[in-house]
Amino acid sequence: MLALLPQLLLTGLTIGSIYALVAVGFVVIYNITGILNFAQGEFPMIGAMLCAALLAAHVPLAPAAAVAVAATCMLGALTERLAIEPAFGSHPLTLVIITFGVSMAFRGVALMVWGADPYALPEFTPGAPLEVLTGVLGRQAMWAIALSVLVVGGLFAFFARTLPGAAARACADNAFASRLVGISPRRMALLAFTIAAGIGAIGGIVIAPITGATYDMGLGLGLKGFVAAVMGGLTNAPAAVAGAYVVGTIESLVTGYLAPGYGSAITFALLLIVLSLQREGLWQTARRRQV
Amino acid sequence: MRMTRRWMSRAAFAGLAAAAAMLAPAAPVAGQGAAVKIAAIFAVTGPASSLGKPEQDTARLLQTQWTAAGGLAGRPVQIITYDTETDPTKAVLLIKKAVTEDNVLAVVGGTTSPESQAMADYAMQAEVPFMSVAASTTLTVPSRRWVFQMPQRNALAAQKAIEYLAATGVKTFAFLYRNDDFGQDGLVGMQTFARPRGMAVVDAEPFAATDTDLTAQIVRARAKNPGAMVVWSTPPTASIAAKNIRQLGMRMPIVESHGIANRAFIQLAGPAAEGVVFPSGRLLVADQLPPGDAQKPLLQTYARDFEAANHYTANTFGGHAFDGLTMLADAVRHVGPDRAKIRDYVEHLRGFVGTGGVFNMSPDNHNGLALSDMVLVVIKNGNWAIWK
Repeated sequence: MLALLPQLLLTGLTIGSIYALVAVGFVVIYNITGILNFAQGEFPMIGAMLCAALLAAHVPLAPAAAVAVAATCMLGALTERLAIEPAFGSHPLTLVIITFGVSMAFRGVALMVWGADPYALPEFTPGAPLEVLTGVLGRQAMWAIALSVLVVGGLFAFFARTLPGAAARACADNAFASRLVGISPRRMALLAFTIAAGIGAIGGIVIAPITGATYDMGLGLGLKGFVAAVMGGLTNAPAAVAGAYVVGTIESLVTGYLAPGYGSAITFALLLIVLSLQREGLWQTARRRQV
Repeated sequence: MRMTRRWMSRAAFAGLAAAAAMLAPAAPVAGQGAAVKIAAIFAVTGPASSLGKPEQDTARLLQTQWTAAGGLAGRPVQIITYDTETDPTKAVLLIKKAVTEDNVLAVVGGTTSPESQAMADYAMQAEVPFMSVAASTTLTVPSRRWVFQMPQRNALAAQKAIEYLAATGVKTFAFLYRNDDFGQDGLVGMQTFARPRGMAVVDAEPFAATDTDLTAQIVRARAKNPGAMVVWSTPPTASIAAKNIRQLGMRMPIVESHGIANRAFIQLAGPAAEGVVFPSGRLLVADQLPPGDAQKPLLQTYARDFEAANHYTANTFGGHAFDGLTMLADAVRHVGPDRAKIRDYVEHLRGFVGTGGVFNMSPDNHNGLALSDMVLVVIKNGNWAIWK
């Protein structure tokens, strides 16, 4: 039994790396705008699909990935302007429902544009997997892990060291007061959606070589990313990444030691427990959020 | 006042009627009498969409071809397509709607086995011919009066897969399967046909259709030292399994099910797809068939027409929809648009050449395909080849 452990932990890392970048996207938008963006899972889908489409048009991987991320950023900004901004100031629940609608719209359009077949992306650096103890870790999983750490580091630097970052923090802290000093919460919301879409697209492109990309991958990713973000307290990006690895490890251990097929069920049961322990509920914690 | 209101309602009615007339599809020019209406109910979206999409595209292709040919038996033909979103509940609601509201003559569909099971129950109750495109053995074993099955059953595919394992001298294998009707049915089939050959299933590992990594299941299986890995699923999980097996450095043969008979599997599994063997209908290897093959002309025509209309490669799933629809068309041409007569006709259909094989139906066998209708296909250089 113990012989399985190293591989199961490494598998947990692989699965966790898939959820990590989605979870960070959730946190960025929630922190700055207080919105739970359930369309977050669609950004990885669009990033991966765009990248696959560009590769099919014989664009090399690096520029294809860059264009896909940039285009997804623009789509994120458009989402904010066309779907969220008109309802600015509505009840958080209304905004959540809007994001659900946005995610369905993205999925529907993706189905029309790319069809139902899964698309593949090549591994960034193909080759034999890394052997750790008695387990193996795929090279692409290492890319995903490294990128999740890099993105969190980059976000930290952005919020701590740059003026727009400081403005976003101010807006997260107190939207009313920041308006008094000339920071527009609406512009900050636009920034949040753009960044979150970009992070999501990076995530989608790095995980597509592992899982494949399908038009409907966003729903599952979004839910798991949400669980990971909640595990990390929803307001803290490094904690959300840690939450993602916890979720991945739990899924892998449950599958390996208990019963295959129950991994997701146990994860969602855990979500319920975490949510019920946060007695104030999600809407209240929004007031105490910090970047 | 009353006059005005009546006038207004009349004007509104006239307006509505005009609008309806504009919105209504143009009446088919060819054919006379009431339209022959056939429901095509597939999982166009949702997890099984890589199967349901080509099925729907096939239905559209046939609609175009039949309309151009002047309808069926001198009547206009209308294939009404529905999307179940891979949801069995929705599938039942849609077959009910098709039969009671749209008044269709017969139904083709049920992309996945759970959908087909639910739809078959309703078809029995409503006494409507139902041509299922799902592979679960229990759909037509025991035989059900109104239910016919187009794909090679799981049991047949399992038997063919065992043939390959026996030929390569494999004594033990581990079975990884998607935990639903399709995978469980495959497990039963493999166990049934392994025993008489002296083979043992040393491990069976289920997984969910939405899983993104199957390494945990595979390392459990590896601990039992299987001589081969058998995977029963559809992409993406079917591809992920092959990738994970090779990633773990395991070199034993990989056998998969007829659920991987589309391009998506090869694209997603990449190099790990090389050497994977699976039982399949002949469509994928149509061009490699000997000149005298009974199915070859039909398969080549279908593949060519499908690719011209849809810009992607034809696959066996679309082929199952093709078989169901053309079988119904054949019945309508011979016995006219009558549910009971169509059922009787299809039940005694013999030597019907379809994409899945040569169908020989009987009251006891509502599938009508035999082991000889399957070939073993091996993936070589990213392409399909007949395994000798």
